[in-house]
Amino acid sequence: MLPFGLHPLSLPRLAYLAGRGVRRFGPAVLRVIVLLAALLQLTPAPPRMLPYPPQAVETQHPVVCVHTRLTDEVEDLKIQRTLQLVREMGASTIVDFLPWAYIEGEKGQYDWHHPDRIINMARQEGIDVIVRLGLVPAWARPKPPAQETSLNYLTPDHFEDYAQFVGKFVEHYRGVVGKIIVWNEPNINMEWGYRASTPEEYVQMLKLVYAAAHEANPNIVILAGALAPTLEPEGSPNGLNDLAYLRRMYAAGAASYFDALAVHTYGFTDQPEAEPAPDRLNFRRFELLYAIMQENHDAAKPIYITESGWNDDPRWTKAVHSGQRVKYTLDSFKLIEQRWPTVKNLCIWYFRVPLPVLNYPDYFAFATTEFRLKPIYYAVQGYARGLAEQ
Amino acid sequence: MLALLCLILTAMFFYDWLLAQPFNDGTWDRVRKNGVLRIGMDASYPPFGNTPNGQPVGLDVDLANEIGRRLGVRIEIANMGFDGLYDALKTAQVDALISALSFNPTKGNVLYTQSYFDAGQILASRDGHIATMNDLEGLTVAVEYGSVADEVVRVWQRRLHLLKVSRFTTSDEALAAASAGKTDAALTDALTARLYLRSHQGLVLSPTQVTHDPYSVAVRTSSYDLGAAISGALRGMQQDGTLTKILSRWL
Repeated sequence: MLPFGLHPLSLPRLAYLAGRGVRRFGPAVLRVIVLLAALLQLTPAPPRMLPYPPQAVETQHPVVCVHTRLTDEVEDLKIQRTLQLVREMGASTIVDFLPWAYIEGEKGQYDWHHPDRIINMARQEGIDVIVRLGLVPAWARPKPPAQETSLNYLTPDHFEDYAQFVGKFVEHYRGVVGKIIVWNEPNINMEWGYRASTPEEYVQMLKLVYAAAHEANPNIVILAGALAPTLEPEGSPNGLNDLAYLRRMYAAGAASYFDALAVHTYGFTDQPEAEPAPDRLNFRRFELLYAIMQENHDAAKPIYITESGWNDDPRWTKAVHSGQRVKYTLDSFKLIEQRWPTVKNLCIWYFRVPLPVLNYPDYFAFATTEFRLKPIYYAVQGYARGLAEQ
Repeated sequence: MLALLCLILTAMFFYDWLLAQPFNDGTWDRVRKNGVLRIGMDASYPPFGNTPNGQPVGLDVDLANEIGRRLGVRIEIANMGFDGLYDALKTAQVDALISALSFNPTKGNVLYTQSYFDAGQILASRDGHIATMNDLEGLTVAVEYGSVADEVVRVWQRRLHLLKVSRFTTSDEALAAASAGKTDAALTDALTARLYLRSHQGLVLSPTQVTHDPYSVAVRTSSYDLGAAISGALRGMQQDGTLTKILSRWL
């Protein structure tokens, strides 16, 4: 009630009205403020990247390639920064892994958001992407608790699902992505979710994938293999050595179902020139795989070395000194360019990861998680772009 | 509304207080009762750990035994691969890790004790006149190409007016260049430098290090009392010179 005897615009009257208003509307106003504050928190973060014109890679050595790990990178800015650094290093090609499980989380439902941003940003930088497709969605694996499986677990009854996915992928990126690696290191049981797989099974998968991919885009290049360099004998629970595996692939008719061979070849403690041998793992092991291609009259196909390099962890027994790592890496590029025209790319494992593991794998990196560039980056940049490094 | 705010604040203060409390999972009590401290170690990184005759020997082994002596317990060493160390600690297969371990920020629930060795970068020069990176103004430093030392000198090339760098394939070659007077100093990690100096004359290490990479004993955060006891033992070893003796035996 308005106090008597007060002028309608007097201060006490206004204070009285304000107080009454607060009592009446205060809770509602407070709720609106809280709601607005909450909504503001939900708005997307402001963009942190400015648009810029498409770039081109300056390189004198197109064979130079690096394996990136952008799949688990959350922030666009970091994906872009990685690709900018790769371009500035002079690598015109990258290899990266795009998980089937992320894209086809529900059977027949495709979410292209994540691969789109990686592929689009790579195109913006003028970089070609060789894509490796793997990682099985939950719907294509046995249901727990009946059977607990790892994300790599795939049985032949779902090969057709994988092939259809690859076909969809190739169709979606027709004219953008030209090369697909089918699976990763199939000669290692871990890569099948610790299921004992066979080369014959892999060829069965390759056949389905090849047909689906070429139906979607006749120009697609299907890369098979990407075999792990290993000496595991027949019957080992861990896997099968890469040479025996490739021979059995050919025996099972693989030649008709791939366009190029993907190869993983690491130097370990040997220099790049070291002679290859069936019982030794070193850089030139890819020559033994090539010899098997020749045996099978398939040597006209190109080879892409999609993983390679040396490690300089001071405490890993398979590592070398940092200076040797730099020298061997540069020498390996020269060796490939001078003697192996059939090898189209030599991709070094790896550029950078979103999180370090604080163990020997970190010593493969060209850049730390915080984007601190290691000297090997400048060395490869100097080689690729013809710049004097030191 | 005010009551709710007070309740939330009280809960937050209580949570902080709880987090600040030292944890005690009973490990230290058990170790004292049984008289055995179980140490996880990757004895494949000489001179910290090695198994030339099947049994672990090395700096970390001597350090573990000295810690055991000071704590009045027997040491049992479980030799395992580096990859399994933290899992063994986490699952209480061992009570502590002594294995040339640097601080690892990604390992949750691990407490690092006082350090016993700093493997960071250190300068070596012929008469020890190069004590800091600032002393290298206008001079030449040798490093292993691509190493952490190489990264450090690239930063210092931007800080100093003139710093010339000679790069070598290995740290030993860099140290040899400094020793031969081809460069004014060499920058390398302290472990490599100390090992080199064991078999080569003519170089003096700088009294302070350029960067730091401390090696510590790791325990579970829930074994706070054990961590404190080990830290106390290390402190005692440092004060009475035992730590220096152990380091000098191997480095």
